[in-house]
Amino acid sequence: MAIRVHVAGRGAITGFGQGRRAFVDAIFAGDTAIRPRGRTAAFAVPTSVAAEVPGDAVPPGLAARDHAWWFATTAAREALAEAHDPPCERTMLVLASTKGDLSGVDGAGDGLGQPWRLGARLAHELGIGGEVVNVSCACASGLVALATAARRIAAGEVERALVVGVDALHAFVMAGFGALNALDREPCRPFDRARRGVTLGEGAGALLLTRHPHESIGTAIVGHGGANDACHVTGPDRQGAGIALAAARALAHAGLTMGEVDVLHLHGTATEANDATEAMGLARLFGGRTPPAFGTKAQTGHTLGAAGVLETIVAIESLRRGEAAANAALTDPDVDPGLDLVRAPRRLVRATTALKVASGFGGVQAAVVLQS
Amino acid sequence: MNCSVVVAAVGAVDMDGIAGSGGVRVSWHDLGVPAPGDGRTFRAVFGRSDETFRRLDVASRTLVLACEALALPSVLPPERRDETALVVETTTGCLDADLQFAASLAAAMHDAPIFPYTLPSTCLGEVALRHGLRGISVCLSVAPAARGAALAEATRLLTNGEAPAVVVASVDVLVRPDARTPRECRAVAALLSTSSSGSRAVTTAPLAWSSLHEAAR
Repeated sequence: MAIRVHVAGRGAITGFGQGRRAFVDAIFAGDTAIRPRGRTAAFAVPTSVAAEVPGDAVPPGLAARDHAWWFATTAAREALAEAHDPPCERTMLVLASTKGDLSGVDGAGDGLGQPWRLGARLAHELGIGGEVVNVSCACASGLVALATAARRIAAGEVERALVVGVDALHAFVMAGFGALNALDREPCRPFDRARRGVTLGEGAGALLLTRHPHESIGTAIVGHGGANDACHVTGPDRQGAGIALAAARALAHAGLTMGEVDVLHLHGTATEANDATEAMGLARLFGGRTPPAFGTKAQTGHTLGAAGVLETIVAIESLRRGEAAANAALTDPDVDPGLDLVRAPRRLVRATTALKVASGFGGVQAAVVLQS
Repeated sequence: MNCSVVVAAVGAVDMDGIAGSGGVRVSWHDLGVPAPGDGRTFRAVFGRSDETFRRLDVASRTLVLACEALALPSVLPPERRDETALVVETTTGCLDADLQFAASLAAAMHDAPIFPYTLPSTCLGEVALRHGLRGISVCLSVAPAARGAALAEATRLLTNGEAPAVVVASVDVLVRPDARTPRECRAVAALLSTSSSGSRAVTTAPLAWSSLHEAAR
């Protein structure tokens, strides 16, 4: 069943600072927010870098436990403002986060790593009167949240849904990735032969979705799909079958064929297994040659629960600019050559349809199809 | 799609024991271990080994047992598993695993194996891989007042035609601040299908966790 759920507003706070404009301009300029660690320098983790939200983008003295809330609120307000501040009392909130606020697990507080607590706080702050749904599907959270919201709007259950993806850098999470030997000591290099793992980032992305075409910025979600690798809880299917299945289902949901996809935004974490299997699965799905494909974690770091929404904002921007951004930090590709990794900014032959994919612990795979 | 939802199987784990429409009904007292069991529990209850069960965190162990009590091989043909969705909700999330990992950090003994279990989608994945469920996967963190959100989402997936069947579950592990008091574990699982699938209903009770829990017992 084809759907058309319109994007009415976008907001972001990232390692590039506050604001969606600063974020997408930096991405398409090839900049990176990955720098030597500052605020997180005291964390005992095996890497020298992270993509921290700059200190001047947060209020002085903001408590660590409030970072996720601040990021989420900031991105949400920007998205609502672009949409001319529709009535929040009838808007649904879908929050995507891996751990929300970890206070109470580490240090004093009542976040307890339970995203619903952050969702409730955000809804109260914004005056959201509709239902609040909190998605916690690891690094696929953002796309699962977009699908959850789009499903409600397409069914006529709600008029508008505010989708916010957020995570803040925390010693707990950074140490966890370190313990799994999943962190690159240097800035991450997705899809490159020299890749050694993830660089973590933080921030929030927000998209206001609406059923009303006249509120649209000109882009819509027209399909979504999901799958599970069902083979391992932290490692991907060795053939990339799960991510390909999610993408195929999203395109089928949109009523589109592979040949109608103009640009592909990748998950691209820079782990050995993720990048190899993602490339393999998508190359096979597209019959041996994908559309122009790029990922942005070499610029934003892996922002976990925020990644899906932030990267969807990039995919939207790619359609609007008619351009695929270069895969930053990619000098020597080492994945299936059928994945058409963009090496320098490239004009798109056609800029109508974008496919965005994501994967998460638990084998969760998700994909969203966007059209301008 | 115009269809109604059928509860084709139910399973539950609580502080009394494990029960399900597949015929399992066993108490922790009889098993001689506290909920949710130890490394030998899976074989003791289901009569076959599970190589990784003993390594699971408490929430995953609870959820895996509840889903095993659905006896999926008898109600979900293998050819339908590729499209069967999995929707899980939790209020307490991974607090037990979180505290365990945080304690390991405080002791400078990073407990790498527990870290993936600090994400609730990991216990969902433990169910998916055991049963080959490759459909849409959704994990929800729900406020106490919003419990049942997973049942509503599963119903949407069925009625939208996004999945022909859904394994839906809730899992919660209540952590006691006093370490001498046992954790409280509870999971309720159900296999939902559409009336047009030909599945036989094991209960016609309202689609609510309390009703499904009662039906499992």
